[in-house]
Amino acid sequence: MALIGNIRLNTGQNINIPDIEWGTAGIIGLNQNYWYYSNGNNPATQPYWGDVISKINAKGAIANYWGDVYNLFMDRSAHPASYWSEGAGKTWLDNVRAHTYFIFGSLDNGGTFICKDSGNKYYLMALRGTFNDDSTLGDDYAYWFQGVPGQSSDGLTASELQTAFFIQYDDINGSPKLWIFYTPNGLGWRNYDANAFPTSTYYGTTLDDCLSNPNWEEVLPAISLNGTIPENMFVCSDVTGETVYSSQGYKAIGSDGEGVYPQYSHRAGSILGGSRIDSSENPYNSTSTTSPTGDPWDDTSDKIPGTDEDQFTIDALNSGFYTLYNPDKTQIKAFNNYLFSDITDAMSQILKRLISNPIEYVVFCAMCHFTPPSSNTAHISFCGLDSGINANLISKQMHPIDCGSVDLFYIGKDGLKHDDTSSFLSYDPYYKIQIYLPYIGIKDLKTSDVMRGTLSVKYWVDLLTGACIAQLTVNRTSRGSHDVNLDSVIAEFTGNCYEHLPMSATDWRGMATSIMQFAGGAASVASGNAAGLGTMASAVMAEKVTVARSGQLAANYGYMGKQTPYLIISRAINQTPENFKEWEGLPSNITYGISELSGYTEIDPNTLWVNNIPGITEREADMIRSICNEGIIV
Amino acid sequence: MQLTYYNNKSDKRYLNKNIEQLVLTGHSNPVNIVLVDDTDIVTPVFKMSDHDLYMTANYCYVDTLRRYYFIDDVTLSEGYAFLHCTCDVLMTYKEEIKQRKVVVKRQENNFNLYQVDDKITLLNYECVKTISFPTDKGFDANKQEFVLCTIGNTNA
Repeated sequence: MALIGNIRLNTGQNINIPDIEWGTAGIIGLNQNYWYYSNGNNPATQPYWGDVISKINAKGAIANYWGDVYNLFMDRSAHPASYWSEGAGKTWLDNVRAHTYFIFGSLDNGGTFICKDSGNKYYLMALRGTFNDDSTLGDDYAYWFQGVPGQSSDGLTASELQTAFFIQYDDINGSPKLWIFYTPNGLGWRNYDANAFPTSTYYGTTLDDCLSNPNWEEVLPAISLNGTIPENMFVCSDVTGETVYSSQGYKAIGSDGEGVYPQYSHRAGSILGGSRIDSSENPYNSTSTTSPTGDPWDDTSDKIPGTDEDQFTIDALNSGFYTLYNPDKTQIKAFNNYLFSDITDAMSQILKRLISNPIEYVVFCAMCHFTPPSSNTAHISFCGLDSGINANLISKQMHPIDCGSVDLFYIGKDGLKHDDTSSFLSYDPYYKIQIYLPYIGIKDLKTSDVMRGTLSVKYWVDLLTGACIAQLTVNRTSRGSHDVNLDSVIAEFTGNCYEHLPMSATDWRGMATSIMQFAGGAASVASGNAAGLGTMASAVMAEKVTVARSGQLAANYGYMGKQTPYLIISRAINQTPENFKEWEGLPSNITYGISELSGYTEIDPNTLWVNNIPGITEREADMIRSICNEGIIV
Repeated sequence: MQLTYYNNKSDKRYLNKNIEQLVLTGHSNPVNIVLVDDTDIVTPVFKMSDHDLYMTANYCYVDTLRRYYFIDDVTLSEGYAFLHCTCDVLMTYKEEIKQRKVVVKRQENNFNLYQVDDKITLLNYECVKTISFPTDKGFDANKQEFVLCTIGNTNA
């Protein structure tokens, strides 16, 4: 049985170390200068071996992960020669078993584990792992305590190990930082980061002394393998996680041969004493995981600024077609009199020219925020007339505009793509995704369509009309069962990406009328009563109002709008208390034998048949079903 | 009929209770009892000499009935003690219950987070964030290009 990870404090819980095995049997190897333990290939044959040698911490050891192989190395030169004589080395080499039990953490994330040699002595190793699958090992290292396996004077006996205490020490962000433990044979506190004691200590006469210290922060509960914890002991840290406090009355922290047995721990203002459960993470907040192969979920928000006032350096007035005036009431009356008074000779010449107006041969003039494709230049011509003016000649009517893509996943420790929370909270209605598309507006997306995939946007523009269609494509790998690989257009939206310029008064009137038909897009608000804080999930989502974030952004409106697509994500925030799954469990809906389970369990009473138990009464059978339906602890 | 006193240290919901048999100097444990008339074996009342009453006990086992009981209440009358009890059906039938195969609705260690969980609480405000597509692709706000369309072009 391989058991890796935090153990749960539970009075009376005993763990039989010899029965615990770590993964597959390990390979113990000997390089000229380094001992290594590996569950895979001989690391000396791997291409990263040079990096290993150069980066092994002088304090003792280093660990890394390369291609599914876990390796631990110890630097022979870091220890006295007597430890590493050929005979002693071979003894250790032969005697260390591939038995390790992780008190905290795991090999790939670092932690504290126990291993045993054939002399029935136990050794603790604090291991910091930030494994990556390139050859750079960074500053990972590990440190053996209680000496070196195989040395008869070193190690802990089983009874000594049973009374050791371990504390997982988190930083202020709640991330595992230090693996400190204490053993009764006098090693005191150990901090694997620095292989040293805490940076400072504080002693109070009583527990209250330390409670009153304003810097007192939190530490996870102490754990002992035999479940017993002496009274009147506690440990805590300050807000930086750097300073450890402890109760006085016991041996002071700070030197070998002394120690403090922690009992109490402070979590969010409460004192926990006696039998207690190791605090567990909020299962719905899995985004705190980091990955050796990829980036965690990016929980930041990109700024989407409004339209820049200075971006319109060239406008329609620069075309020379238009002149805009701002007359007052006297002047506009005068212009009216000019238009409808007697025609002079000068005006008749002008009118003659107006009848054969060349502008009739200009179909349209428009502006756009992209460069149309062209392969050569030509004179602007119309109605058989060559204007002699050279301009780029647009070569194709349909033009693609690729807006790129956005990833809606993060790579987990397993190397697979995961959604934001790895739970139902990553999907509708708890997680809403909208997309802003230039010249189209803001559209709702179905979260299930895009989550865990790569969303791409590509426009096709009809250069003859300005009509555009935005195609949204999702590329996503299957989860496994009940899922498929997806690489498809999942939505198409239409708009117009030209700002058409009127060529005549008639032209303008027609265009203005068309534009005004698209004006507005008022936000619509569905009424709903606001749900109170802490309301259950479904009730909260049922009361949420729906607001339209934009109207239709066709034509000239879109020209003034944002030119880059972006997503607007609204996600629910869960407020799950500590130890939630220990007290309430999590949704299962799976068939199990009750003997296979441990911990909090709610059973579907319709599937619990107990009436056939010899001697049971009907009332007792009903009681069993009722209690199991409400929740029991197996 | 004999009753054995225990101190139960576990919550009622535990299938297997952590119980400790009590020892009181000068007293025996188990003690002799009788079942009071007109009570049932699920919620019985046991009668005993008040000398045999263990005030520190909160749990018991009755051999003849082969059941474990929570001690809910104790009353005294005329030299006798009366234990008002409720059967702990979980502890009594724990071995048989463990053998059952059932559909588990909620579980501490075996679960699927993608099933909707109505027991969790949500805040009434949401986290809103924006994710931009690459700004070096697609339309360019800094580009303003003219498109002119004419007809009757004899040079085409």
